[in-house]
Amino acid sequence: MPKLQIQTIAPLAIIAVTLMSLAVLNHNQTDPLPTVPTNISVTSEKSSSPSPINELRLGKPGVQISQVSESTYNMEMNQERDIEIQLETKINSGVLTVHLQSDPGIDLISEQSSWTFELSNNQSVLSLPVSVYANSNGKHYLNIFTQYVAENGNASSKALATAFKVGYSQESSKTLQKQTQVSSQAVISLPNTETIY
Amino acid sequence: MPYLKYLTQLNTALICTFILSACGGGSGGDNSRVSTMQNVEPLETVETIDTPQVKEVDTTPTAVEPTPEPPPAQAPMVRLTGTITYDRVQFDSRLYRGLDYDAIEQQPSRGATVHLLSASNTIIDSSRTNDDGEYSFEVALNTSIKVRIVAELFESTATSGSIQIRDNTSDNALYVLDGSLVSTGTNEIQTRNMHAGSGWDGSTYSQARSSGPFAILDSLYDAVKTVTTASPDITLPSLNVYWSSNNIALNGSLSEGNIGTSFYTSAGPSIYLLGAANNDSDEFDRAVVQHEFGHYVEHQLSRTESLGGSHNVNSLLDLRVAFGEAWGNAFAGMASGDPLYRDSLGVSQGLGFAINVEDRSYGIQGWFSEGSIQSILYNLFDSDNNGDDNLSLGFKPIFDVLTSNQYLEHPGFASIYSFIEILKQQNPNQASEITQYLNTFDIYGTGFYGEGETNDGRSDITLPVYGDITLGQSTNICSDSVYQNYNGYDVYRFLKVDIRSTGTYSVRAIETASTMFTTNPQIRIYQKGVPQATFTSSSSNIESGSVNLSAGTYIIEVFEQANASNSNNNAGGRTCFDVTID
Repeated sequence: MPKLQIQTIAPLAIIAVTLMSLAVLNHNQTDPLPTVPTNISVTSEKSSSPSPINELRLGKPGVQISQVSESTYNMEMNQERDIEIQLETKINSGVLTVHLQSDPGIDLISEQSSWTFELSNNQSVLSLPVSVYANSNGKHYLNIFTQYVAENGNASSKALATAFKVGYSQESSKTLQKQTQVSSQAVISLPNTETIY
Repeated sequence: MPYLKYLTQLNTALICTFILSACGGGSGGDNSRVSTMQNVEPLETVETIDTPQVKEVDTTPTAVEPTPEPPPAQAPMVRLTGTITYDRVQFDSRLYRGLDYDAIEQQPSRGATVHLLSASNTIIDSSRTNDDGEYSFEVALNTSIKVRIVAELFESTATSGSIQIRDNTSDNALYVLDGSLVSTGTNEIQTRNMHAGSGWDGSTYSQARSSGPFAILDSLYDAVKTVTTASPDITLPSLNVYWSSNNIALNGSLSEGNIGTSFYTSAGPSIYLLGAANNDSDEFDRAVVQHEFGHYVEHQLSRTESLGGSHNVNSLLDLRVAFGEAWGNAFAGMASGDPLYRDSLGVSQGLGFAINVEDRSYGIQGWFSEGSIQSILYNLFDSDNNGDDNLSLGFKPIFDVLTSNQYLEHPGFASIYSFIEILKQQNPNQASEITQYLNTFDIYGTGFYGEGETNDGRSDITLPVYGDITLGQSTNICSDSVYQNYNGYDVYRFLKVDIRSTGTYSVRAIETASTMFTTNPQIRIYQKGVPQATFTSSSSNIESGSVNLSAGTYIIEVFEQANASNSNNNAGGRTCFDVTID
């Protein structure tokens, strides 16, 4: 079998977030990546010389855009809330269309639900002011659909989301974490149609 | 022998044996079997059972080898057979649209693990479905058993792992289809067919989305077969694929489904796939599944130094990212035989976009372009010489390069240059044609390091792709993030250094010019893509460190930290450094 020769590097912020997430999740995975070879000594004249990143993540193609505003809001039922969704991109040409669609548990009560941006060097953060109304308890999403059409006509898309936890208490959050322990023994038996003859 | 091929042949052999035994002759394969089964008389009453969704804890480890009890001598047996199918929702014929729920097809679940379970959920026997979704067992008469279909492709060797579809939001539980616990009866043949439905009621998912895991499994079946056909002795490490209808395009807790996007991760290794309806779900997006499996292939069986990050076919990418992502797109086309990469999303999954990996019309062409490299890889593979190329190498020569010692041991990074250099060495009769073909994509550099490259992608700092640095001399390089931070083609600069004797070496990067008030240079030293030293302090305008290196060729990577920021696209700017090693 060919020898594994993989390493990757990413910003420290990503490392920290990743490690924190894994710790919280009690993610029962081991990382097969080699660290810095032990037969090579490494010294640094600086205070910080972190090990190479331990996790590599490679995602699918899509619009190069990210959500920089809060991605989760807490609300109470029948509450109305004004928020500003902020999207960031470094694409400096072409046209970006953004459309919002709420889950049934929340209503998008602001008039505007679609935006079109002609991208340029002068605008990297795109603001979408919206108002939502919580009509039922639970975790609901405001879905954000982006479509980018480049100057050459090529199109790509990317979905994003903002979560609204309606009527969530601290207690329910703790319970949720407690329930997500890893167990490799569990199966989910899915409904199916069986025909026997 | 690859396990799928082996098991398919095994199943076929068993089936043929049974047909010959039951019918007194016949030739042909699975089709003749099916028609024979349909002609069996008399048919018992057809029993159709919609089994309820049950989440249970299986007290028997799923990996336990079955321990079939030997039947009594000459005891009459029942041939228990069946076909496993699932609903696959097809794409709309219009490339700018997503899924078309008027085009749901029942397709065979291929390569899935089949267990026979006793009343106490003990595994009595195991097999897997063949290319037609069929399975077959010989079991004792009048025995209460149930059939379990596991969303799992299993390896045939003791050292190989399995590929399993699990739910990251339900204790990482393994998806299965369970039949009912009923007697095998007294007839010579008993048929138990099972079907996993989509759960779509015409306007929404109102039922369990049972076909999702099996659609993913079936896409992976083609991907695995592509690899094992090219390299029958290859060992595939275990892979968990996590899919849930809770998996949404929001970053956060994986166990709550906030996975952000579909991605491959070295942790495991694993693949996480989106599944949230009316947001983004990928279980029927064959190309997305196979793209991520392509990353698994590259990472586990070959090498990649990709940084990840946001990307698309128009992007101007770091050469490591460009090659890795292009490979993922091209591999999906190779595994499916369909050059269209399609991704659905949106309300009722009705939106989408498509990439034709055969096309060369994506953005600025060159060594930094996912669009260019995917087209090169796919057109090297395919036999459709569409006026663009006359090369039809097939998959094996491409895979042979990726798994060759020369590719794995190359001191620089995995890139289009190292790939093409070895491909030409291994296919000398087509070397000239390959070079000419790359030139049509504005890729002119040669050798492992892209020497002589003249395509700068409209940036004045991206060339040479690898600069040279000699001990004791200073070289000035610049980092920027004009088109995108983190993984853009102008963020990281590479210097190649030859170390002739083992010793301790000092490396420094000192800022000489910048558009920013304060800079934070960073240095990493690589060999064969593996970091040998990392100097990434937060000191302003200078970075330095020392490292013990043995003789060999190393790559010094230098960059401005603000340009490499993955969280702030506004950060960064043109920054130049004098780099020395001595």
